[in-house]
Amino acid sequence: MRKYLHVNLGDRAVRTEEFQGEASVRAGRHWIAKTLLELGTAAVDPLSPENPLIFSAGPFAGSNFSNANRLSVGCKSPLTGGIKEANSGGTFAFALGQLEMAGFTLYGASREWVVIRITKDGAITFETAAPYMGKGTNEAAALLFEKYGKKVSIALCGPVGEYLGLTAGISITDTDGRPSRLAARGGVGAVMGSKKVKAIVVDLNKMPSFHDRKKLIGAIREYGARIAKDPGIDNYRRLGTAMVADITNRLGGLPVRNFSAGRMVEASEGPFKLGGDYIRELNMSRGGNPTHACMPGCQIECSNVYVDKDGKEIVSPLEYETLGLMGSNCGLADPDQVARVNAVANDLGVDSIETGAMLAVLMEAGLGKFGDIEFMLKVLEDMRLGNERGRLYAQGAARVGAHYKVARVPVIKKQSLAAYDPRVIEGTGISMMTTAQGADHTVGALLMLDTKNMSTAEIVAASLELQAAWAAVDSLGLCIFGRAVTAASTELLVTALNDAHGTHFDASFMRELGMEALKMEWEFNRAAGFTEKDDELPEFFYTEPLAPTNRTARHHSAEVNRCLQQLLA
Amino acid sequence: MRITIEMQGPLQRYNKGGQPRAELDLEDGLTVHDLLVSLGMDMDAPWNAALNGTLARPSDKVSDGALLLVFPPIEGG
Repeated sequence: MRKYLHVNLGDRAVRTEEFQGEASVRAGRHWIAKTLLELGTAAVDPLSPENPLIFSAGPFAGSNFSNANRLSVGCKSPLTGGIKEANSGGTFAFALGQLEMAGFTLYGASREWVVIRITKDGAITFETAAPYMGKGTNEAAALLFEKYGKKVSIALCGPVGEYLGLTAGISITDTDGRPSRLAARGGVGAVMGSKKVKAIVVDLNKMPSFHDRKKLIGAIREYGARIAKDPGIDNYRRLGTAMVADITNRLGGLPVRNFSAGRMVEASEGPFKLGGDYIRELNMSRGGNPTHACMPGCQIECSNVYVDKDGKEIVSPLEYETLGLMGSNCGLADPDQVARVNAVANDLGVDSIETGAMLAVLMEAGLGKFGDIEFMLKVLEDMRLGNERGRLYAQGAARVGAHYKVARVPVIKKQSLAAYDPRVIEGTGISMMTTAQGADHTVGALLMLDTKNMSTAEIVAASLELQAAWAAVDSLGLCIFGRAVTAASTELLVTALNDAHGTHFDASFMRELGMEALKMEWEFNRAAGFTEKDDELPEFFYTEPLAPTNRTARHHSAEVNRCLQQLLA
Repeated sequence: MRITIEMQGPLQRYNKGGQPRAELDLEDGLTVHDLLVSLGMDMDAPWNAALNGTLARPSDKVSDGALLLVFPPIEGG
């Protein structure tokens, strides 16, 4: 059994719902889509008290099931106007699970800024947030750990979220206490800020009860063993997500200088310094850590702790998407520089993808030069101060691009693309077009799909298959990086779910769960007024050949949606 | 023919000297598949390749001056 809390921030009334069996399993994106549809959230103003903010932990949360302690944050996105699930690592979902909680929903808004405190005896209290207001996430987290002790997990609205900047995510503390994991995308930090919730502090406890604990522990061991010996996953452990940069650079699909080129470094020019091999060697030579778990018990350990030439920590993690959007996309070629701006973005609690895309749009508008790190730091400082310029910048790439009348703004549904140019990485491009989440690569990244000779219909089919698989993973609190093992272990996972919660699912459950979640998300967006026109890529992708491959985008929304509807019929 | 081969991550151990990047002198007309077999790579372990910057099939022919990148499956994020 798990508890789910419904928290009314206006009168601070808390209603506890009991989840038995299946209700504890259908979590994350499935739970968020179902709930928001039932509540009619598609019609609300996303920064109003009517927008619920959902925190959902998966069915294995609180145990040491490898990579099974992801957090799903859900609401209507103020950035896209559509449904949003922002997914994060860190310790928050683990803590919820350890308190035998499936999650909670925040309704309405508080009159004053509050810290919500959830303790292991089940008490939930509202305390003043005054000491933490206006501070960077690092300082705020340090103060909160000082007040509440180290055995807690913290979800934090950073200084940009305080003034409802749409680039604000929700910062989550990692296994070492850094507030550097984020439920980043879609402005969920602005929603938390609109409710005047500065922080949520949850006690850590011990492994929760399960239906058949002994059998579950066996499954935990078996899944962990499969993760430990998978060679693809071993690459995550050694090189982290930065390894993707070597591939996209080589394929010519890396975003460079506001998506104006697809390769930054030719093979003949030497090593690609934003890539996994280079970063690993450099970091290790300085005493940094290339292998780090963001969630307790995770055996993939794709995170890293990146240090400067004196061995002092700059940022943890240093990840591909940031190396792409705040790095090559802004004309930076040195990982030390990317690490530096990444650290500032983390302290502000903002989405590094959206912020990187926004910075490059500013550079395209002529406000700064590509590769000028001092310009980037000045923009971030304006965002910290929340002055007039900073509040504009904090609205993200689409709104900044419209303000400065920039023609080339890389967004879908007003959310910036991730570090995959859709002219070359066509599979991920189609996922980013069709998902209800806005340009989100984590719904279905098809980096390795060789699409050169594939039709639109074939790529859409591949995208839908993967989107269904990953929607299931996102509905179970699992990290998508376990993919190779998760995809091959459906039976083990379904059996483990049944052992955990006394359910009777069979092997078809995973695909059904994923497809249901997708359909509900699309239904929400239709109710919110989205049409297939909103799936189209920005014009420049179709008309501008991308060096060095000279590819242009060849899949328009009308055809993509025709193929998708045929598959869903 | 002479080609440049880059191997990523754990696949590096199959490359000449275990290096990430090496120049190889080979007979003409080899396919990607045959080339990797000749390096002693375990062909059952999942792998991907890119030839001169585009994703390659095992049957693609490698020609003089080519750049071949070989890497295990990855997702990104």
